[in-house]
Amino acid sequence: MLNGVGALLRGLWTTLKHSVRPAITVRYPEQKRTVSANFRGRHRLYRHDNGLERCIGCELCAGACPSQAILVEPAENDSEHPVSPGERYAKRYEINMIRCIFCGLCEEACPVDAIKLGPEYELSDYDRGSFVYTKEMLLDPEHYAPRRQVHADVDVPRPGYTDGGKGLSDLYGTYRPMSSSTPRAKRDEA
Amino acid sequence: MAEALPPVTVIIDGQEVRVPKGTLLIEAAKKAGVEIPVFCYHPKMKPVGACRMCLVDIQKMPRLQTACTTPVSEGMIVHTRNDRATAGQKAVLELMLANHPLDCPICDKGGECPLQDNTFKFGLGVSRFTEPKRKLAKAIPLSERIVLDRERCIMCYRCVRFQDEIAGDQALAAMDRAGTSQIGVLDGETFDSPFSGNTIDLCPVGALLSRQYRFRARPWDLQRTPSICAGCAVGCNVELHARDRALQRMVPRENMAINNEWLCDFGRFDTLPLGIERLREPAVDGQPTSWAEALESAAELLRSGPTEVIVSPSITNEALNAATTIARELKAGLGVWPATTGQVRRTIQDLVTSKTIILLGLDVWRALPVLALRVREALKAGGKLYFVGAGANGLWRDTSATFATVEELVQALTHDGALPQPISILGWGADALGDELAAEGMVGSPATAANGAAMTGLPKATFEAPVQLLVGNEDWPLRSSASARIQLRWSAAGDAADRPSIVLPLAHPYEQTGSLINLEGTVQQLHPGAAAPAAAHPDWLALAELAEALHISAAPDMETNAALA
Ligand code: SF4
Ligand code: SF4
Ligand code: SF4
Ligand code: SF4
Ligand code: FES
Repeated sequence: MLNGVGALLRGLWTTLKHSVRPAITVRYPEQKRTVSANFRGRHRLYRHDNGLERCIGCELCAGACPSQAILVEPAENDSEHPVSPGERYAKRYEINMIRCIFCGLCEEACPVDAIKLGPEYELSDYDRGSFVYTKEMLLDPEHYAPRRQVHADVDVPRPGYTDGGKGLSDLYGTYRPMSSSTPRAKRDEA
Repeated sequence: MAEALPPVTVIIDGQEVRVPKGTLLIEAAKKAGVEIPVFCYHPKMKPVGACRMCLVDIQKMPRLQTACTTPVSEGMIVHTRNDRATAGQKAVLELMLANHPLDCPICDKGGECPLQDNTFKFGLGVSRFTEPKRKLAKAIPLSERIVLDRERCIMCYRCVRFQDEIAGDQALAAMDRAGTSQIGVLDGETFDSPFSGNTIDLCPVGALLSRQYRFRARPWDLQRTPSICAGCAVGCNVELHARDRALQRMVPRENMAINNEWLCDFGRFDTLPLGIERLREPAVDGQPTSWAEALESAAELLRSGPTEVIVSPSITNEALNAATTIARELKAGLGVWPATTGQVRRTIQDLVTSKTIILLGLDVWRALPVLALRVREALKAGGKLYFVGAGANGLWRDTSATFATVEELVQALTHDGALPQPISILGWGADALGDELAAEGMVGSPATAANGAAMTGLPKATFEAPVQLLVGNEDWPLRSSASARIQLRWSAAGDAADRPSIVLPLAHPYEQTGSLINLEGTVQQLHPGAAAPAAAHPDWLALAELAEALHISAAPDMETNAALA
């Protein structure tokens, strides 16, 4: 009996204590919390400083994706107007955001740090078709930010990301255009 | 070669196997179910021991040995996975990768690359090299079909050996020595061999790649369908690779009775409906319309006049069957064009085992390319090749003697005893000569078109009837102004002057089922490896529908079709 009264009082005390503490919830959606630098939200594709796309259309992200959300159709770079450094680029790059489970394996698989999962999380929309994010949308998150998420308030500086990560262009920048001239057997000057 | 030799017992990784003496260790290991990594070794070519990937530890031998060049002997005890052997394999891979660009992400071989697979399975896992890698030219077009990446080449010589041993045209060569050695064509030449595509399959890295398939898909994107090449009467067994139901490339399937494991470039690259404008809709007098209406108009036209049904020798048996029924019921003439038909007795196997092969003016190299490779197999086993006639002979390098006439050949070759049997004779007049020489090999004038062997009895088309029903994708001769034409084809009808009255779109042979009979009489099935344009129908279905529009019962023939399918 006494035990019961004690438990009751203890419970009341807990309730009372919490009602006077400062709230740890935020008034979402009016207020938004700054997300951690490791947050896995909407994807972004990155560019090199010279404007070329980092993505080389290798399809490894698509191969790694457990929900088959990514479609990459590669093509050969035009040597006059290359889209990316090297021989190959993604002619078509799409992520189906309905299928994506935000696991981050695509970013893990990418050999050139072209894709990262960004901070945006308000991705709801009105029809299924608009969940297929094209390369254009992924390359330009400022312009194609989710329509109701105020972009700036979630975007914390993420070290090493916006300038595109490591200098792997050395490896993929060895491209010399396929010449139409007759191939030679001699050792070509490197 | 080994059948007469006595069997010996060897122990590989504790597994005891009995194999004929002289068997290569690598083959004995296969029999024991032990995997030894290889790059340069290929069961269809002579071993060279160039890459050192297959190092194994043989008891009582001071150093590691290459399994691909070592014949087994009695009581040999071999370890492929002990410390010594794995250390050797790891070292070989590490050195191989020291100068390999490892640009797998932009390499079309990635995902189906033996260098990736062997490194994953047998390699070190990390690299200790920090030095800069060798830089060489990348993406060098060797020909219209093949592109070479010198950085990726591991100098296994498979490609050079294929062109030398299998194709025999030595179109590729290895140049220079040691670290600077490289694969190439001679100065000023291009890699033009009708079999160059096979080097793409053979190259164990992404050094030789297809330009047609360049950057189109990854191996895991592909749906693979076994089918038959519709390029010629050899009927090579192939696998069609499609991405999202769109055809991307064709690769060979091994069938020792037909194509071994080779394809010719024409079949591999040019028979695919890529970059060819397709016929997408039925049309009457140039106006697009529905199938129902086009069939109605076609039926009306066919009933209106004396008709000739003309089939291409590349349509399926089922379509031929339906065309025959239509011709019979309409009392129309039935002809084939072009007349690339014919039949032989015996099989390709009998050709491969022949000791004497006589070509009567038939340029097998061009007309039936992969058959030429099978001829070369016979020659490698000690056969002799003779050519009669003044025409081109792509197998000239392997021809023992060329004669102007058959009489000359008989005179020159049989005066000191009969020619060694089995004798195979191919070309016009082969049957007569075959009887004269009592030939026991493949004898006859083979069909050259994909289903030509099925149409041997048909007369050549005359193109004289006022109404002509043309079935198949051929460059038909221009029509005279007096005639009306119904065409069933898959490529857009070419010349405007020849615009047919009615066209019906067909599926490409790689988009439909059906059967083809190859030159030796083997019936083989086509399987759809890709989606046809929405309004295109398989050739046999289009003809069955046409029969129905003509109120001809196609039922009995469709039953035969079902039995064939
Ligand atoms: S985050 Fe995961 S599920 Fe989403 S696209 Fe990337 S790999 Fe696929
Ligand atoms: S995003 Fe990265 S992994 Fe995906 S295709 Fe582009 S380069 Fe390859
Ligand atoms: S090109 Fe390929 S097949 Fe030829 S030697 Fe180099 S690695 Fe071997
Ligand atoms: S030999 Fe004939 S059947 Fe074989 S790949 Fe060439 S065209 Fe096709
Ligand atoms: S596979 Fe034996 S040396 Fe290359």
